[in-house]
Amino acid sequence: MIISLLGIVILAVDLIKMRKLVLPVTIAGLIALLGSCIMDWGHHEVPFAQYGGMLLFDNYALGFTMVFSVLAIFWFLMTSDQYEPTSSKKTDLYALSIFSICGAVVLSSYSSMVMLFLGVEILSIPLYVLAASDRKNILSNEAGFKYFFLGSLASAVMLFGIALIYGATGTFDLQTIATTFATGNYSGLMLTGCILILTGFAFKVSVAPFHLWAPDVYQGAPTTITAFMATIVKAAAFAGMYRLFATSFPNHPQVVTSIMAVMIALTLILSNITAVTQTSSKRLLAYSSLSHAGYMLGFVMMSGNAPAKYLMFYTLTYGIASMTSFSILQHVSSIQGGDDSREAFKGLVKRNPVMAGAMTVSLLSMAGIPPLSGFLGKYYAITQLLSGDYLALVIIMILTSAIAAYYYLRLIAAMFTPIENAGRIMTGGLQRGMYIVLTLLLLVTFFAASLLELIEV
Amino acid sequence: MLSEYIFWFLSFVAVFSAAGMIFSKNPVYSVLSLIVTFFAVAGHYFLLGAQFLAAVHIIVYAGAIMVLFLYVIMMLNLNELEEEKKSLYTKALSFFAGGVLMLVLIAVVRRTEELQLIQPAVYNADLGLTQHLGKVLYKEFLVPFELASVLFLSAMVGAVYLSKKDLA
Repeated sequence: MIISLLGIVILAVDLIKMRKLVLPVTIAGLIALLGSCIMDWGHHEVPFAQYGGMLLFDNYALGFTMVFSVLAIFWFLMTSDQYEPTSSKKTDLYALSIFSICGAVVLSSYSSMVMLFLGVEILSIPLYVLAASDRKNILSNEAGFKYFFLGSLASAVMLFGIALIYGATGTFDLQTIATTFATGNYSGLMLTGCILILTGFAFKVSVAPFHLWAPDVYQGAPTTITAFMATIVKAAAFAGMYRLFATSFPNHPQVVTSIMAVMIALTLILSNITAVTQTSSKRLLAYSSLSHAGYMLGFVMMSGNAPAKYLMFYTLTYGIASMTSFSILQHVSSIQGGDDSREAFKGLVKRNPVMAGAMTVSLLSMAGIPPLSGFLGKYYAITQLLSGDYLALVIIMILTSAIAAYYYLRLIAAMFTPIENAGRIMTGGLQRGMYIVLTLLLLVTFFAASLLELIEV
Repeated sequence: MLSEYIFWFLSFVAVFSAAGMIFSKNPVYSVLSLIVTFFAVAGHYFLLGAQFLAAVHIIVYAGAIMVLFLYVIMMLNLNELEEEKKSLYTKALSFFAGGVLMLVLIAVVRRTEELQLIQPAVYNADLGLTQHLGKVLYKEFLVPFELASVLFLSAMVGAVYLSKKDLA
């Protein structure tokens, strides 16, 4: 399991000598990772499954690892036309993304606070570089810098929280912390630690009021990297957050629950209202990604008494939709010389029907329109909150998703507005294929979602 | 007996060089006396039986961090004496902040004496030895140790990527 993971890491780095082979090898490695997850599914007694009490590859970890690897395969295929096949830039960026995915896997499988912190760092440090990877672009530099400073602050806050919990319980082990916590007689040290870790995570997953860095970083970073951050990284951070709160603090203290509820409400309201006023589509998608973080936080809030598979489903379907839309945005705006306002999308349906179709479907899915899987994700979030009697939050969710539908539809309407002398936009065959596959996936997952009831996570 | 003399000697050096660091007008002298302070504190760690901590303290603080400091001083060219005048307000404020910190530290020292966290009778004096730490690091914490290397590798690749020249 981990062997295959590290295998890709090392291969991706070593392959600097054979640059043309980087993409196939990366994809092969990710498929191997996916395969090994499926093989290990349900077997808790696989050799090395516990790694000395540091990592635990249970179904939860395997499920999320599968989500990461599926998204990563799509991401690598989708971005393969962005760099010339032989540039050394490409290998470096691939290696950094693979490292980041390695951190994501750790973050979904840790069973010790030490690994939690290492996972967060392995996830973020390559990202700081990736965000700044367009070195000639001042915005990209700014994004990397901002992300680095706020990200390291968040890590420090989280580390402080971990230290306080260690001080309160004398252990890093999630299960042992859970038993101490379950006795109900814990000190304020533990609670403070818990809230500090929550704060650290809130930075990483960019929920309000810790979201201020996100729009700037998402806009400044190269679009392909933004797609990576909004999908895989966000999924990983939520996987880590959910695992911590579900294992160690299954019945969150009232304070923590209320903090989360306020965060969800703030995130949904702020991000959706700000998104309406955006002219840049990239920034709009960034705000939309923020609002989805609000929904995902809803799953974390209910993590004590709800299975994790719904969060997994949400991250996967949102990831697919978001990746498609970012990738199309990249393509369209690069043809328009960097213009990514709504104007740039006008007449897309004539200029490239496949792209317009894929973009429409993924935006509709993010807006939560049936029969697309984005609807089911939101539906699960709402039913879970209803089961916990958070009616006010549910109302906010429904109202704000109406606002969201407005700005998604406005973008779609622009694509169907006819314009004069529209030249066709060409896409590579691989990309066109990817768009079709992803669009179909959004439909298929909607109808296959009932299979979720069969699996146990 | 000997260790007591060493303790007093190191403490004297530490306090003296720390004062020197603050009072010296030249930033380079300040940095140099800070290094002396670090060495003296590392000596204290040795006396307490924490070899590993002492070694790390010298490598990290006296080595890496001080080199950074010196570079910054060199780059900013702070050599000349151009200390700006500070207003009375700033002085009062910094005096207050420093005083509060000292109060907290004194309180902490007093409280730890009351708590008696360490019982000399049952305390394992070998706890800080490198051998002990090594065993824990390579047995219990082997996985995090290995993964930390992935972290450093990625940081290294990133640093190289950001600083290398564009060949294209």
